[in-house]
Amino acid sequence: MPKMFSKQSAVQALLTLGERLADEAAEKNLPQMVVGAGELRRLLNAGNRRGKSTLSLVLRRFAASKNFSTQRWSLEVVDMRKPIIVIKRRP
Amino acid sequence: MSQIFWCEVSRLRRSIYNPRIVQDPEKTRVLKASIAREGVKQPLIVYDAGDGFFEVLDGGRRLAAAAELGVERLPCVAIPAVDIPKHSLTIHFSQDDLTPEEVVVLVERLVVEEVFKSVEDVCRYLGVSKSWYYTLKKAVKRPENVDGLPVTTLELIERTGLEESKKQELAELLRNTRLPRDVVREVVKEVEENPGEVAAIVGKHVLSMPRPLGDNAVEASGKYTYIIRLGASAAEFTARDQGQTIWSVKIPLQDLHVVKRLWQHV
Repeated sequence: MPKMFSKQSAVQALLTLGERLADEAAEKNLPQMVVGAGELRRLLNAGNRRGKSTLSLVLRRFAASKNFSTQRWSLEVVDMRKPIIVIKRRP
Repeated sequence: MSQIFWCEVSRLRRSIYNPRIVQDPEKTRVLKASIAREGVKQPLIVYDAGDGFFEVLDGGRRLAAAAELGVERLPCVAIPAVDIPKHSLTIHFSQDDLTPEEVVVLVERLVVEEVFKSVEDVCRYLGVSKSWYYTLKKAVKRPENVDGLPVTTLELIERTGLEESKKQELAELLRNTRLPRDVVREVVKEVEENPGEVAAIVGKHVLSMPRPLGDNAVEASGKYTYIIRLGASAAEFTARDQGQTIWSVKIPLQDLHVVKRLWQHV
């Protein structure tokens, strides 16, 4: 697991994840997408990075809720442990 | 103000208009300890969701902590279920522990959901200047070209008291190197002491990292370039200055560990 970092970085990690998933969904022209641990690993750990572990840390320690909404997307964390995420693009 | 009433935790849920995305784990721990000791003293602000539930607009963390501790009922204050997004903005805007990102996300969302006509409209409603909001939004934007950096390195840089431009310069330089974490920490420390020489400091540390030089040889550079070449019976340790060999020693392989130990005692 990566070391502790601030909640500022945590919120940015969540927002970046939402943006990336929303972009993926837009590419595939899907209004909604269910993303599991494997897909997250492929997406976030590309190039020897530790994005997936960072995400787990953020979800377990920092997330204040299971639902996050921005103007472009809303993200629901179905399972904090695995994690499983549902991303919905907003019209 | 409405009357305080006690509501079962099972009938409460967090409102989707609660803008908080992240919480401080340390504060959550303190909150839980306080609730376990004294219960919830400050009422939650709730509204009737219309399906038998009350949605919590202010007090999401208190609700989560209480639910985890098995508290059955919580003190609540009900507000009318009209203009909830606007109420949420008013209530949460004054809370200092919302991060700038959370404020910006909520404001932009309310504009998209047509609660307000424009960002200017929000600023007027809150009584803040447009420039204040746009400065906040600028601060929230992730610095460009630092995508390849681990979050932990970014955080190391963020924690320094450097100017924003220096931070970006350092992040950009570190992105192109693959320095180990302890070296990155040293670099950041040195840059903090000497903010004018970011490139020189990073360059110095990159050169000082051992690089392979053909088979069985590594080199690293500081004032001189040092080369260690492993032979069949001895290791050759050479120092060079601009191509000229200054000195060279041969250490028998069976004594290498002695030299290493000696070195560790310096």
